Amino acid sequence: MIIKKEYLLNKNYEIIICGSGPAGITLALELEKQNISCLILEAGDEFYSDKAQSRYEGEVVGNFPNDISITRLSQFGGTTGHWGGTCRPLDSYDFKDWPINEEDIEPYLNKSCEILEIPKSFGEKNISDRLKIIEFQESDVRFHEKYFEYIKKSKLIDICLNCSIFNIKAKNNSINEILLDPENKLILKTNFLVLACGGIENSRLLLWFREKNKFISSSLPIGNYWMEHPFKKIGSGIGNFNLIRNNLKNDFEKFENFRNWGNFTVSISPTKKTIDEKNILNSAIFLTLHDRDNDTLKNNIKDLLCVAPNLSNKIVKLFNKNLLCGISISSSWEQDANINNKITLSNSKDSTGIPKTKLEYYLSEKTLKTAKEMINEVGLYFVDNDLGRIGGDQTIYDLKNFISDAGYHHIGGTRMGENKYSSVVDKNLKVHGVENLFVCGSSTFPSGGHANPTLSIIQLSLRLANHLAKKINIL
Amino acid sequence: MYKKLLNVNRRNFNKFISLSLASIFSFNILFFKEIFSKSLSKKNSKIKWVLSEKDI
Repeated sequence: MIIKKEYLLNKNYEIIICGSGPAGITLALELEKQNISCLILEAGDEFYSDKAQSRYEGEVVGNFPNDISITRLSQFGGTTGHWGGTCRPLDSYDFKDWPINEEDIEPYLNKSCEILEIPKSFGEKNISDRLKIIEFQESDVRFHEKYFEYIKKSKLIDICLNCSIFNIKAKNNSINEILLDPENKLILKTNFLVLACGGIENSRLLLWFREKNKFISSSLPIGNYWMEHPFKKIGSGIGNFNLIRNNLKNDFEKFENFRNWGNFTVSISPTKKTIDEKNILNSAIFLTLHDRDNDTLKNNIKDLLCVAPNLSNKIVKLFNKNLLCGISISSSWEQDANINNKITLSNSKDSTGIPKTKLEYYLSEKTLKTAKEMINEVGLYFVDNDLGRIGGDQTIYDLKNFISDAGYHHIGGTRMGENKYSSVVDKNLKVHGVENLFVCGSSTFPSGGHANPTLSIIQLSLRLANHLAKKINIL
Repeated sequence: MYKKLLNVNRRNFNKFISLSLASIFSFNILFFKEIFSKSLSKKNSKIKWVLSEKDI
């Protein structure tokens, strides 16, 4: 049920969850199934409001392409209010730096797919021992549309809108009080606090709590190792439409006119062998074929004939047979975890009195090398199978001036690990050194893979719900 | 009358075929004219192509 802020005074909740995005709502619903009550504090309103959204404003240093106040939503349902819905679980080898394995969250995949209303079908087909075609799913679920009315009627889930957390108090390294205003007038009591506010806010709040309290260790790398998924058009090409279609044929229906990008789109990813041999990060290449009247084709022919005159006969023949097509190549790929990519607190404060976010963000040589190597791998595959020719845009060979778009996937900042000097939360998402403070969301990912993170966030939330339920039942 | 019509149709068909061939031919000329009119130089390339030795 919806509860007004003034009625929260001195209330005691078993669990308080900050944030009503996919992580917070999934957690609350799963706890409800296990007969455990909770309170969700949502800083935004039921729908978008400028006032709530303004708290997301912040400072950006480096080559981050987006305004951090528009890449996420402060409202019930969080960023699912404007997300693209693309889903795929992480690859098993993405867990290399995690304290848990794919097997630890795989049992929650079925339920996660049910929540997102997508089939549990994430096929893969090796086209060589170096490259594979992969399958994504698309979810239309908006958490507000799906869950707001349900939570309004729930007897075990309370939700307070337009209510943000200001500070926490602890006794013997265990949080016992939640303060909702700077004047300490509104105090709540709880046994467990979970931060599920998103990939930037989780770090910002923890940094702020540490500034106000000594019980959060200064050695924790809060805000560090922050990542995105670079997303950019990185190459072009020309090819034989029929040959490409036949060669990259697959059973994944989604690739037929995927997102209306072109006539045929296929997603190609490196195998583990390629990642290890080339020392690159995980990646997805989206290869889209265009009609012959598309400008891309004409420009690409011009460009290719500058460097490969011997291909001219072949190109004219294909053109006359109406088989020549233009290819554009986009990619969404992994960024490496770098301690210097970080969220810190800015000097200016938001309307609630908490310092705004300052994000320092740079792309590394290895991140850009991944884009270059993947163009090379796919290019060689095209040459070997005589499908056409592709190449990389000049921009990916110039790290200094390279600015990528981003997938709006905010990863890291409160990373998971066993070591309190290189991680913030343990494998159960509990903050090191604090008995009952948990963090949930993509901010806990030690590495991001290339897959869109929401599906994995939901898997982790379900796992956390099970962990908390066990703890509560023991107590 | 039928033969007359047949002749007209045949004339129209021949005209159609020759016009079609001419338009396809001229379209290709126009398409490739633009491409070949600029001097082909490696410096003009905006893409780093992945090529085989035979292509160059």
